[in-house]
Amino acid sequence: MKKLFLTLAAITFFAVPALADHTGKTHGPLHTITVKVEGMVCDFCARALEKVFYQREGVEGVDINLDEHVVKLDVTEGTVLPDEEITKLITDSGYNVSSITR
Amino acid sequence: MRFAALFTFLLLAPATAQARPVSWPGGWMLMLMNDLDSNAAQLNYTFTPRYAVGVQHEYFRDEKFNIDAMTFDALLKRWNMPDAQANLWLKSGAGIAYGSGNADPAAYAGLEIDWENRHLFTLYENRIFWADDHEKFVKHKARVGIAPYIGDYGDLHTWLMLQVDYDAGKHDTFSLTPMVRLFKGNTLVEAGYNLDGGILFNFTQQF
Repeated sequence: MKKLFLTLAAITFFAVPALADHTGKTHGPLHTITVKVEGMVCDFCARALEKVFYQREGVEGVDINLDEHVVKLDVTEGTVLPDEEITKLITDSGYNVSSITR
Repeated sequence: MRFAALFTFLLLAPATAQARPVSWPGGWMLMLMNDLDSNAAQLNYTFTPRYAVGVQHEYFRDEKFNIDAMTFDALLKRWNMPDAQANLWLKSGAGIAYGSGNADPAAYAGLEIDWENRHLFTLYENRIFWADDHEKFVKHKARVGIAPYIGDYGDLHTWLMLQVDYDAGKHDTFSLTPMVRLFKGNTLVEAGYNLDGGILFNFTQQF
């Protein structure tokens, strides 16, 4: 019984932080959408896109790589985020989408 | 005390304009701009990715007058390239100039065009200023910059820049200002020293 309790405690201890992102949100399984963006050359550009995507429900993580001009979106399972919507959010922010990979 | 020292420095330092007067929808931006002729502070609000409105106070040291203005800044055109970006901006304002007793209506407008990738930066900007009896001028400015290293998103970014100012009316001369731009997170600081004498200092905070 003690062993079971310790095992459960250990799982809880390690699993909960793994499910929490830097905003403190906890979430279920995620899938990643990789978007290649033209014109994203500086932190101000990256910050603007980060703000836009974090406002979208279901987007739990935004990872930006300026060298590769890539925005990786971590989206909760079940969230529908079509290519058209991603493209619109990015073009409305002033940038162009060159590819979207799921 | 530290704030008072910083505030005093900002008022005494001479100036130039900032890059990117528009941020993200719902974003606020505080800009302190100190160039060869004036000290300015602007607070603006971006209501679409292309437009921002705000208020600006500017003090012209030699002529000893102030202007309080409502500002309107716009991204007129952006060119996105795979590894670079270019922009055409409108920067404008209208308000009241006041100083030695009398107050006059005042307005200014200027275009800025810039191009940058992660290694190089170039910019040209002009400003037409009209304040009836107080001051009228047309100024031009150009900048080139190079990044000595390439940082990732969130790192401290450093740019070494050279700015050329041309004031057609007042001095009819060119002046050079070597400067450094430091940029991390939502904060941008530019500091330089004009070869004719005078410190350049700009500060931008987005929030």
